[in-house]
Amino acid sequence: MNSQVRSSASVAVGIENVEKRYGDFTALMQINLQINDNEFFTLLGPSGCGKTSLLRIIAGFEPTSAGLLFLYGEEIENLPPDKRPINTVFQNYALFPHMSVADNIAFGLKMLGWSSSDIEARVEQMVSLVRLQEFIHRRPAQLSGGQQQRVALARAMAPKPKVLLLDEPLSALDLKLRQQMRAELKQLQRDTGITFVFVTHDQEEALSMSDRIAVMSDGRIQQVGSPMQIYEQPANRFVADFIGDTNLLDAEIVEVAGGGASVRLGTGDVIKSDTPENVQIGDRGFVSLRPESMRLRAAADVGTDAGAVALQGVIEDIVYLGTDRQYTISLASNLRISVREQNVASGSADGLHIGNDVCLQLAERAARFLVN
Amino acid sequence: MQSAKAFDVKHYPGFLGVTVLCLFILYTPLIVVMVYSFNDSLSITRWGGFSLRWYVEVFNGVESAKFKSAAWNSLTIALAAGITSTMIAVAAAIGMVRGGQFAGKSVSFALLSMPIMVPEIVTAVATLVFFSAIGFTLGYGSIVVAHIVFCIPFAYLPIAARLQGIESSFEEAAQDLYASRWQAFRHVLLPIMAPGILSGFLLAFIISLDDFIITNFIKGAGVETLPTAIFGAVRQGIKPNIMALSTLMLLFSIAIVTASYLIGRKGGGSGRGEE
Ligand SMILES: Nc1ncnc2c1ncn2[C@@H]1O[C@H](COP(=O)(O)OP(=O)(O)OP(=O)(O)O)[C@@H](O)[C@H]1O
Ligand SMILES: [Mg+2]
Repeated sequence: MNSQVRSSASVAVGIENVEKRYGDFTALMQINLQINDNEFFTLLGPSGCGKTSLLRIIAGFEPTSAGLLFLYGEEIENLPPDKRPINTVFQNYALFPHMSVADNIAFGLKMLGWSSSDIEARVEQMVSLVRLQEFIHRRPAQLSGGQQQRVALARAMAPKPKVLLLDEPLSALDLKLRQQMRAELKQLQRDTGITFVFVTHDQEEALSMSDRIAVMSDGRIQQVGSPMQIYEQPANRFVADFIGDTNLLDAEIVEVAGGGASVRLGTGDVIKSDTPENVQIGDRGFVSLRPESMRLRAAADVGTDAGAVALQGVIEDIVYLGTDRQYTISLASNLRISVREQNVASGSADGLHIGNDVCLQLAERAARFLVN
Repeated sequence: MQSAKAFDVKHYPGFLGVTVLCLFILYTPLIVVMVYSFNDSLSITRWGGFSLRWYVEVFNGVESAKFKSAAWNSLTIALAAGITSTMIAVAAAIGMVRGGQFAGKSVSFALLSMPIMVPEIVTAVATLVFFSAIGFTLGYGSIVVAHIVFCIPFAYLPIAARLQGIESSFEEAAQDLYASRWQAFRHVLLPIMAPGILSGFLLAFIISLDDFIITNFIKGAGVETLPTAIFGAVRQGIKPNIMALSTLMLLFSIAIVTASYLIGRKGGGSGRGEE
């Protein structure tokens, strides 16, 4: 199967059992990834998990310690960076300080031996793509951070690479600009059809831009999937915890039935839960409950509707967050859980005050059982 | 900031006195030489009014032919030694700073910078002994070779400092954009390093231009540089035209060193080049 996947034209970057060691330290282990053609693929993970190392291996700046590397089915492990049709947007941009914006963008084209009329046309095209027409004669030092970022992008895309690598390109920008650039990057990727491999430690950035995400920690890939899969069906405790906020409660499987299961929590309550495949009665693990996947009702309001109630507790704290309110509920057996309710209209929080008894209703598939 | 103030050296007793004494000893002779180079009398101690006659004498007097040929030798030797040692220093700096960790790296660094610490007279004697041993004819050529060698560390230090301040991502970006290693060096690293290289060259140039001890040992008969020519002239008694010549050399040196310093400090514009 592998050899077919490798040579398939739909796989832009194939990574097989790649390892990276720096001396005694293993920075990457057993990395297996297939990044598809025309995909916005994100490597997401906390600082030091090996994202940059993996990107540098793909670009050719670092040799692998073991494993195979393919570009559209062709093995590229032995090609130096200047022979790989891959370009990089560096984290610090690395714009050439002694060249104008136009010369920076033209650099790769000159090295590829394009004719000067072709270069001129392409530079013009790139400059208007990233809207820097007025700045082409400036030096990088005379540009703002956001403008430098766009030059770096234009420079890397000008030679029409097959794959574009981006190492935390937005991290140096302020929040407003970062949000605007997210949309622009995504649009650029769609328009050009270039495969993007994007590195970030910001889960919101990853969720909002990516077609697929690989979540990494400690030099390993924890899960690969669409933003929705990663968020709603985390493969393990690390992913559930790292992506978004969640409540992780100890749980044990008490019943398995057609795709789902019932689990008993530390409070003694039994709730329905999604599970990974192949779980058995008696398995112990965690249940992940997203704060926004539960509804809070004042105990007094629930009355006869008790069937839908999963958990009961007392409001311990309320934090007002603008669009939301975050409630901390203390459950039986000294467990705590946090719940988010949208502030829909005035009065929506009626009867939800500190010290009040409340019932928690779980949305469909709100709970996710995780073995580790 | 606060603790820095507590340790401010200016608060030590006697600081001002020592400073003034040092400056006085250092600069008074220079100022005297400069002032008396404009003296309209043959005496080097009594003031006889302002005149430029000694400057005219430097260029037109009986000794002017000797001084001119010595100056020409000094300039061409300094140029040759400065350029060659700078090229070697650039290669050495790239090897040391960009070569990663290699066996013998600290030994290499020690060897590179040792000539600055070895007493010059020792180098001079050793060079003379070595040149005689291998039968290298003393003369213009031997001066150039010796100058190249002792100028390398002076050229190396500012170049290596500059290179250390240049992130390797510039070269990586160039290679990422399809430049070969040579093209990455030629089109990216070299221009960014240029201020450091120019600064290193000017330093090597002036060190060569000003050198007396080593040159005097190995110059052989009949070849003079400006410092050895001045020394020779002074042995027959100090005349005011020597003061004029010394003043000219001093101003030239100051100009070159200042240029070297300014270029090394604020040239380029990589933004992080300061080190
Ligand atoms: N040249 C190197 N020599 C030794 N160790 C290294 C080297 N480069 C990276 N490492 C180590 O490898 C691990 C992964 O580094 P890497 O730069 O890939 O992390 P990262 O995920 O990009 O982190 P960040 O989000 O902080 O940029 C880190 O523990 C780092 O200390
Ligand atoms: Mg990184």
